[in-house]
Amino acid sequence: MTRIRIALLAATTVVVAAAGAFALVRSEASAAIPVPTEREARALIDKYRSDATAGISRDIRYAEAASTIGECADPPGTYAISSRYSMMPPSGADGAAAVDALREHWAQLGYRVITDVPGQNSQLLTEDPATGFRVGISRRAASYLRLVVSSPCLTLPYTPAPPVLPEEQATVREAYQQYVAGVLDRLTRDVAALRTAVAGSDRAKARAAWLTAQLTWDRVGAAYGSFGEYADAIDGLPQGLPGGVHDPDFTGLRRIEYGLWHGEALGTLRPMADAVAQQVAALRADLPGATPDAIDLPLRVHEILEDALRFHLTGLTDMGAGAVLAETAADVDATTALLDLFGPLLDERRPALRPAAHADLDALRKALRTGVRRDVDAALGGVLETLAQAPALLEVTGS
Amino acid sequence: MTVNRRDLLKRVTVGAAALVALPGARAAEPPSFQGPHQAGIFTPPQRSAIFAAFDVAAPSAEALRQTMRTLTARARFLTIGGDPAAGPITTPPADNGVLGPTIPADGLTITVSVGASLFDGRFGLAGRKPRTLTAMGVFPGDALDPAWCHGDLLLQICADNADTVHHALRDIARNTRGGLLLRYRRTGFLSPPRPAGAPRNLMGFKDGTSNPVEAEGADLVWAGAGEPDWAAGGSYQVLRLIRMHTEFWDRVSLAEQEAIIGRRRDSGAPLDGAKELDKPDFERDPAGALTPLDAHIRLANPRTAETANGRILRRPYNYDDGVVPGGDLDAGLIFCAYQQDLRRGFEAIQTRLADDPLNDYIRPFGGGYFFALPGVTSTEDWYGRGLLG
Ligand code: HEM
Repeated sequence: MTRIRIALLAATTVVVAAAGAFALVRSEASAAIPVPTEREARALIDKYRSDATAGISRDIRYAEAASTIGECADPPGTYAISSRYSMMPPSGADGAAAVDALREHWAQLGYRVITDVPGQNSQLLTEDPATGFRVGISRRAASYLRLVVSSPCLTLPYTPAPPVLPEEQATVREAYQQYVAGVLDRLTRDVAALRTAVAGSDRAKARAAWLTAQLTWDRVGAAYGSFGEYADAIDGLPQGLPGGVHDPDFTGLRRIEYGLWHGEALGTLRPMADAVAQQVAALRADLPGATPDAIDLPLRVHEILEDALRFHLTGLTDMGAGAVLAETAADVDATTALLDLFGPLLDERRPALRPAAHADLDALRKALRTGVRRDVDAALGGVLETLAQAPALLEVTGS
Repeated sequence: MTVNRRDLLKRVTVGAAALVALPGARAAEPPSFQGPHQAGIFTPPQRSAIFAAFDVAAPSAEALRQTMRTLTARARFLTIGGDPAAGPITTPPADNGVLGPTIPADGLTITVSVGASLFDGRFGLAGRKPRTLTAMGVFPGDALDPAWCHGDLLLQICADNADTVHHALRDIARNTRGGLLLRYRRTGFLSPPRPAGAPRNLMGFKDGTSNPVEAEGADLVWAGAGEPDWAAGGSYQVLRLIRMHTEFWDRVSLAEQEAIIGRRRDSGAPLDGAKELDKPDFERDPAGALTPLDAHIRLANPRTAETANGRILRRPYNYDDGVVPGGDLDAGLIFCAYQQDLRRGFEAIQTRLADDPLNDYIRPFGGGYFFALPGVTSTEDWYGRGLLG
């Protein structure tokens, strides 16, 4: 299973301190122009970008794109949306030609020139009088162009959250890695106990040892193929394998569960338990590299329980033990841990969110303890809606 | 700047060609029952559909031939419409009455396909199988339920209205009773343009924007070289029943949804364009700055010379059907696609889609591989005559 949900810089919108960040300081808004909504503004940005790139050589390729929301000084409480596109011309001459072509194109369209600084580091910025949108192209070096499109100042139906700094994200990742390290140390002991148990002849004891190890692994919060191949080797699922539960590639804790609950001789499960032990040790050693990227971690705040919903509660992960509620409770533990690692950042941006999430998580824990499936389903749905608010508050600034 | 202008021109032409194929566009002429190819493949998708898989229970090749003749006669009548046969008022009526006394054509198409299992020993067809027809395998992320997989025969029944497709299935099942046994079926619908362009699927995105046009059929869709003679004019059909985790999808930001699909949700425009029919130019975006390298449309159709002949004709429908355990909606996509070669078409795409972030939000649970029979070409002809006759 490769389940990787990637947070893309290209798709990331961040708020910067001021709209001037791209040297697009706006003059006072022209009164007559209708102000677009955010969605309309984003569609218009696409239109200005497409129109500009259609007019320059196709050999000038995109290298990077980022979108930001900047607060306007005047009027206060309004925001400008800007997108910038780094582009690579094959040569300096191509870059210069592109700037000239756009100067001519925008003039033909009747755009007003705001700045036009010629030369090596040229800067051209124009404004479409019909919409108040600005579009500009600048050359930074011979083979580097930057196309910028920005909206006029508009009002948003929400207050944009300030971006999380990359170093703040890195700190959270570091803390999460430490959390995982602690869980893996426990898992190492649990898997050792499992190996001993399957070497013996007491099936009930082996089953109990499996459950302990499985729940500890669940507490890692390895949703979404975080920990990639390690996670697949430790608790990969049979679905999607041609031979299903009998496929030779079906190994790991789930395979052991299957054997323990389907009358397989304990001894036959021993090599699999050994392999799990090896994988856990390998992951523990490789943890700094294997821990999900900082940029992906905010998504895990809701994804761990999304996985519980999609895999545990649909029965996909149940290989016989019927432990889905206990496993979901372990996912609640992992979610709580991660939520609190982001605690200060979340509290700063939306003070009500974390208390609400904790209340929802408590309700889910309670439902899991009583084991009434209706209450579990309802509480899980509720907490997921709350947690889904978190990632957008935790995005980092683009480069 | 001549190069670019030519490029722009090319884009405009392609856009215009694609427009013709947009689902939801009403055909000027009702689909014709007879022809070298079956209707319901390049026919602009109608609003309602049933995909029904059958097991053939006919005890002999001769009984199967008889069943196929009956199926042909019913399909011919139902798609043309008219007055059902009248009988004495004391016997059960010949028609179920769901469409009233006179059957309207209602844009109905019935597309008949055969599965790999029909070519086992039962009917002496083992040597006549289309070249790349196999049973559908398991792909990563699948959670296939055997009750929703495969089948000897598949009917794709499409019409402008839901009562018409129901009526047709019921009529056919009744008239082929004993020979064909329903195995599973799914009812699908296609949304009206909201507000324009291709209809939206249940993830809220326009679906059907980029598809081969009929003129490309000979290269991409209709059975090609190396196939048995009887197969000429037919096409490989893939059916995948795909549940969507709509609740989870709704908890994902718009920016991420768009990055996953590779198009804007509102307009359907590719992320490097501005309008729905703008053609993505991935070559210009080698690092995935605008369209992520693993965006669904980019993996599905990288638009390279090597993948050009692997394009497939998609003809999907939405389904919306009840509740899954846990209280989430059972809703998703009946993915249906036609192609010249299963390996070059669907399987190559599905293999690239193994790394599609969209997979987290969907779960295929059924479907199968089929071969849509050549069209019925005369009043004496019947479905599968070349194969069985
Ligand atoms: C529930 C599952 C799926 C959803 C929600 C989905 C959604 C979409 C959407 C929104 C588009 C863009 C609009 C368009 O061009 O039609 C698209 C395009 C496409 N999809 Fe899917 N799709 C799904 C499954 C599949 C599968 C299983 C395949 C094939 C293996 C596939 C192959 C394609 C292809 C070939 C395109 C056209 C790409 C292009 O030419 O730009 N899709 N899909």
